[in-house]
Amino acid sequence: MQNSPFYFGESGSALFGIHSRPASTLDPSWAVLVCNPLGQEAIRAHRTLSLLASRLAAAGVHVLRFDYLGTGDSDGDLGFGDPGRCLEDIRIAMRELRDITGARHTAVLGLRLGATLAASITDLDADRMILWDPVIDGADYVHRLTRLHERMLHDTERYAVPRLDAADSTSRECLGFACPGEYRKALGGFRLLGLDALPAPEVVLFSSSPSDHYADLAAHLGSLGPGFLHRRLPDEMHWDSLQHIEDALQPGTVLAEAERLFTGR
Amino acid sequence: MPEKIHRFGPGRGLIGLTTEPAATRADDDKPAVIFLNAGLVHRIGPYRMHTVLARRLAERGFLAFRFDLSGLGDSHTRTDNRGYRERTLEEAAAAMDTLSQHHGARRFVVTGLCSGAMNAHGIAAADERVAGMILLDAYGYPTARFLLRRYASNALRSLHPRKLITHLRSLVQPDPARSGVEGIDYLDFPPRQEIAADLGKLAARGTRMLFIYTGGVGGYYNYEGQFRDNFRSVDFGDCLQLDYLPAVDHTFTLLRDRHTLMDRIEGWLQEQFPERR
Repeated sequence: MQNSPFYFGESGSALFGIHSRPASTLDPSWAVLVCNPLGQEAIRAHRTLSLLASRLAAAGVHVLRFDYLGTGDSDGDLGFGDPGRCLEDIRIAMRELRDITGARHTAVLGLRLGATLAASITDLDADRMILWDPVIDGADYVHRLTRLHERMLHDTERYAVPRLDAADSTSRECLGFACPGEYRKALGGFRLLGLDALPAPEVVLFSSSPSDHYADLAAHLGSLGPGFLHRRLPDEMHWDSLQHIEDALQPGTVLAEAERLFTGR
Repeated sequence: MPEKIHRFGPGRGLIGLTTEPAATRADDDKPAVIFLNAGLVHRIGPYRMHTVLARRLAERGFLAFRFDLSGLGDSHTRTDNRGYRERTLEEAAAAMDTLSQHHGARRFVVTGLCSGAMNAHGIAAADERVAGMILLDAYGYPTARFLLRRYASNALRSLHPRKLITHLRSLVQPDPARSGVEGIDYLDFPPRQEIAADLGKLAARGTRMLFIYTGGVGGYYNYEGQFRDNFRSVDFGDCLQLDYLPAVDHTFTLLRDRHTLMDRIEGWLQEQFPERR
């Protein structure tokens, strides 16, 4: 297994990616594109997604992780991330993945908003899509992030004195990242319960505990076709907890579950 | 802004990125600025601060380098038996060697937050190529004034005589097993004398130092000048600058706080390492 970092896309708006390639390049069956969350959730998830890529590559699967434009190590500075631009970046990254691997089958593994964005693209042409703790409703997500940010300003575990001077940041920032009105409005347009077809022939929902949060989504995706599978994970990710906004995500059981999907072991 | 990916270190298992100044701004005499991981956050830094600041500094003519120590971000986990400190020093030296080899850098400024600050301190003390360090929420040790402020603050929150007695008792009868006082936040800090000796050595070497403390570490640092009180025995000459930002949190979460910090760091670097005329 080898990790190869590189840039791709157009000069001036280059995307940073890391290709985790299997030791044996014979008959590459599967290639997986990983779609990051946005904002602070991407930072929390970074190491776990890196470990996931290494594990899949060790099991014979090509994996491409990348940073959306203006995030991570990619060109530009777009704060939280521009949802419209992220859709375009997922398409670019998918083309790159196909070009560099020649794999027979492609899959997308998206976490949080990364899953939601990928699932909303109708022409990705992936054979499998794994939605890990997807954001079900963009408007609700923005609302919850805004409330978390507001509570953070009053959190005396973080600030010696509540930051009343920064109350105006609530409409422009989300937990450390610039998130202007246009991004919020765009995010409000993403609703997984509004999907009218499965985004890939095979769709797997990984839902961390508590799983009942995903009951409606699972029922909806299940109603869209026979290719849907729901895997409940016992791990708690604390996505909505103020106390955990800077905690690195613990991989828990997802590494083994993802490997099982691609190897059958 | 040209950025270049480097794989380096033992087994080429470490990953880092240089941000290069435009050719018109390049200055061989300026030190390269190295960003160290803050806790478990990968090389982009808390809220992507390292990426943004690296690009700003490159515009000012500084070569900037952010990388992941082994076991963090995208760098490999090492399987040898070396201890954390030894590995960190070895990997930082490998980073400096890489920047020398590929970019001609001869001297360096190391910067980090929290554990990154502790690492920056150790690297600067161990490697004479380090000409400056920027440490955010680094070491701090209690003083009488610290304790008084802490008691006053606690008293306001809870006027409980038993708490006060416990704290006062710990002042007169400190637990010899600890270098600190019960109830106060300590990371696993080395003894103060050890840090003072390092700082004395660094000052004698002319290492430029910027220390910034935030209200986020109020558990061990709570007033302007506590650092000076901690290290009264050290002759810093003109090497030291100190800031205390009590309203700010440990990771500079708000954009306005981050911009203030980045302005300060950029200004300090330009002042300490001016362009050659």
